[in-house]
Amino acid sequence: MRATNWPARIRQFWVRFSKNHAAVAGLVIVAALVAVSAGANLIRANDIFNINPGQTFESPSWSHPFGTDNLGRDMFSLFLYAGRVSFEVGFTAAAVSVLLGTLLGSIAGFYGGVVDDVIMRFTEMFLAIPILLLGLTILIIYGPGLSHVVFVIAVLSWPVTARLVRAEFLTLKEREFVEGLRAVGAPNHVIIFNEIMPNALIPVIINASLQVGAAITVEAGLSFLGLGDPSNPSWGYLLQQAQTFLTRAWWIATFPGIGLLLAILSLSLIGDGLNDALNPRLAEKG
Amino acid sequence: MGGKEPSALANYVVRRLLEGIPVVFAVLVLNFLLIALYPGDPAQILAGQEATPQYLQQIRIIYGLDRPIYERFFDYLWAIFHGNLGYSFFFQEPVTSLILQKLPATLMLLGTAMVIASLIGILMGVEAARKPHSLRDGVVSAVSLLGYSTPNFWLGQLAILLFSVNLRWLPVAGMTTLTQQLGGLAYVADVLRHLVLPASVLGVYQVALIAHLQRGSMLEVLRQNFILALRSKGLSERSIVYKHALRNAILPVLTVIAFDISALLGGAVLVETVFDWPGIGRMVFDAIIAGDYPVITGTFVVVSIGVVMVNLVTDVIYALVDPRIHYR
Amino acid sequence: MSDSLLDVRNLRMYFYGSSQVVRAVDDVSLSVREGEVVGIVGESGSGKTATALSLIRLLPPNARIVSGEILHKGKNLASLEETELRKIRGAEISMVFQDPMTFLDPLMKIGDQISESISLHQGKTSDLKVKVVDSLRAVSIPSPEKVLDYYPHQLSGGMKQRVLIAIALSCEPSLIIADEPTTALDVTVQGQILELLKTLVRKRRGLSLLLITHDLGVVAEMCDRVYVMYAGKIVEEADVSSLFKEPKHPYTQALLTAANSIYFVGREMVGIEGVVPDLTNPPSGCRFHPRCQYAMPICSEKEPILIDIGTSRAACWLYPKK
Repeated sequence: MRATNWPARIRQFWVRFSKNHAAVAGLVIVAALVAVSAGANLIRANDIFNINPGQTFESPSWSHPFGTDNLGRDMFSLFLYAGRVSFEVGFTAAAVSVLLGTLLGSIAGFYGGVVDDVIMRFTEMFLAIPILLLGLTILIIYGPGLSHVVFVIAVLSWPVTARLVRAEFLTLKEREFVEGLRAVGAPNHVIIFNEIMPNALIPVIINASLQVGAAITVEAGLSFLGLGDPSNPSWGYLLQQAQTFLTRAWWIATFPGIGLLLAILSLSLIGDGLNDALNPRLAEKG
Repeated sequence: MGGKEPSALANYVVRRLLEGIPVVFAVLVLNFLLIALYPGDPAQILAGQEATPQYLQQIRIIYGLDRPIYERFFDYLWAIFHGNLGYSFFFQEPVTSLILQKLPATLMLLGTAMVIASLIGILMGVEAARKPHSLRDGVVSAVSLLGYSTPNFWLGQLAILLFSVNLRWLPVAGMTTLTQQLGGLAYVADVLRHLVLPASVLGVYQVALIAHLQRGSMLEVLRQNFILALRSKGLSERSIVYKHALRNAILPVLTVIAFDISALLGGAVLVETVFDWPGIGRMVFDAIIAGDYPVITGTFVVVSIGVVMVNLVTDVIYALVDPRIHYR
Repeated sequence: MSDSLLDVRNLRMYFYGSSQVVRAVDDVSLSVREGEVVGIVGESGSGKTATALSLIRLLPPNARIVSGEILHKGKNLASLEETELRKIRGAEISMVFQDPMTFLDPLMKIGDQISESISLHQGKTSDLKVKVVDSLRAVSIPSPEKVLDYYPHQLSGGMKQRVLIAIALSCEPSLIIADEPTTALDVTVQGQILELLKTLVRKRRGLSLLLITHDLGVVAEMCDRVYVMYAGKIVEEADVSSLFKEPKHPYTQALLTAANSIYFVGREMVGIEGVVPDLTNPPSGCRFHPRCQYAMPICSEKEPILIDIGTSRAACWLYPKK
């Protein structure tokens, strides 16, 4: 059960993951999107706030492959910068949410009893509340801005992870190797971090890529509702801007949406691949 | 033994209602704290950005913002129990009547999307499960993955571009044609024409979700022994699938659909915004733009309670349909 | 054998996996006469259930009848159209399964599950409800009018098995195939169900029973004639008294020895030494030779065929063809 031979394990993981061609394609697409967004400055030096009244609403051309917007800004540059914002929010919010969920889920699963009850009631409550509405209620009161958006998404999406981790903890802590360690008097933190956590994390890792996709989706929705950060436009924010000129310039709405679709779709394919690679129980069945 | 005692069902409903109370209470507390813990002037949140200075002062007195927090909390609960969710300066109307006024349009949109999406999604899921790993199954999986991954407001924009702007088949936005005075059937037809795009767009995610769930649940049921027994009786595959297996497979799907109703509501806010559909979602968007806080907090409370109710109703339906559920 | 109700000739049914083929039923011939109780006995994995399911082609998508004939009242069920076959299933030939707990639709009332069969094969007549009550009464279910409105979960295992038998009987079939009908039940209930099946065959003119079991005790109590199956093949056929008095095939002998030791150790199952072979790659020659205490060189080289030995037939090289 213990991880010993890391290089061999990683190789094995990759062999299994790469059998899922769709997942590999997803990984390539996400990597490409992240790379071009991160390298936005190198690819497009055009300042995204560079307003050109002389070239508004230009349809896609060689110099402006994604066209220009109402202010004459290059949509391709905007697309790249916005992609960076979307991914930043997606990855950070998902990371915070997964950490929070893992922490609460493991506490609930390990200690059980009243602690478990309280945490699980909270989890259920959060799962029952309309997330987008609560999110926008918080944002409109406390003000938009990237860090607020990240915080809101993370706080609203941890229950999924918490439930997964708790379920794993509940089964793992009954296993012999854990009971054996208890019997020899190993302290709780050793049992949790060295023995249970590495195994409990498997479903969390599988779920994490879906969480990134979900975070990107929620961010896009919030930005579309006008709760984005105008100084840090994301793909959702661009779509909000496009709404006004929908009947006039198809390209303003089309490309940021394709970015979103590709990112969310690919992350979900990666999730499938991770599942195939890390979840032997299911792989055998299929 | 035989049938179910009505009193047992009544007990069950009452107990499920009681279970819903803590969630509703938590929503109220959350809503209250969001406002109470606001670092700025809470009166501003309660009144909205459009409020006049006089009204702000009035709010401070009504809500007794200088009084201890627990007193204010009880006042807040009292107000909500009396259906008082505050006053919207932007819309010039009490929030409660505003919500009631916008509710029918949203329910119409949600209902249409939900019914059509359920029918299509269930059919897709069942047909995919009948021949797993076939071409048909592959198409269903691909469609549901795409539907799952496409943000609905963008899909709405694409639909407007294609069907309204390019093909000119359907109206761009709104619920009625404002330039015409229509009556009777013509009015209904006009509303339906406006409903097609937003309902379809809202339904896409639901189709994806339902098809996926239904496929999994159906595969599970079709593996069970009683299916073999039904085949041994001489029943056709069609009646086995649609008469027996579907009934068994649909219950878990219904629960998840009901549980996911909050996602659907979130989706409705976005779709209404895209299509300018005059419902709760569009109202929320307008309130966001206008900084009209009471509308948003009020909607949050009402919708959350609605979600709790939907889950309750689903559980009761489940118990009515599945004879194995005991109202413990 | 003109009085045969069911005549199976050289039936082969294979399961097709992604890379291998499981020869679950491999050249099986058997017959059931009118009014007869015939047993197919063997360990689990011997292909007896696969044989039973092949007879009315209740097979999963990856299974195929490769060759052979299944003759029933002048029709070859192996090549019959699916729609024609459905008219036979449940009407002419019906099945009773192993685990009554899981073979009834959990969401449908008992009465509806029975009337479904009757109206399917005999049409919706006005006396439908009478027929349903009659079929429940036929399997000795107390207060049948009440049980009609019960759901499966409200009945005990034995009662459910009675309901399944009632469904099987409801259209007055000529043959019931019962696949381990008592294995999943309590010991006391097992006796009652067997007794019921026995009485039914005796009382109903023209009803035959094909009983699939691993339990030689059940065979002794119920059957007129027995086929012993091993690794997808029939290794011995005998009337029940010859089988127990003079088992011919070493496998049958081993089964009997094992059954006797079961008797001595109570309910603890004592099998035969060795394992049932892997049917993707069965042993050459006689499939039993790796486990056979009399194995000779020829056993691994050539496959024995069934030959008459007294009143029995067996496929074994111990009995040279005269």
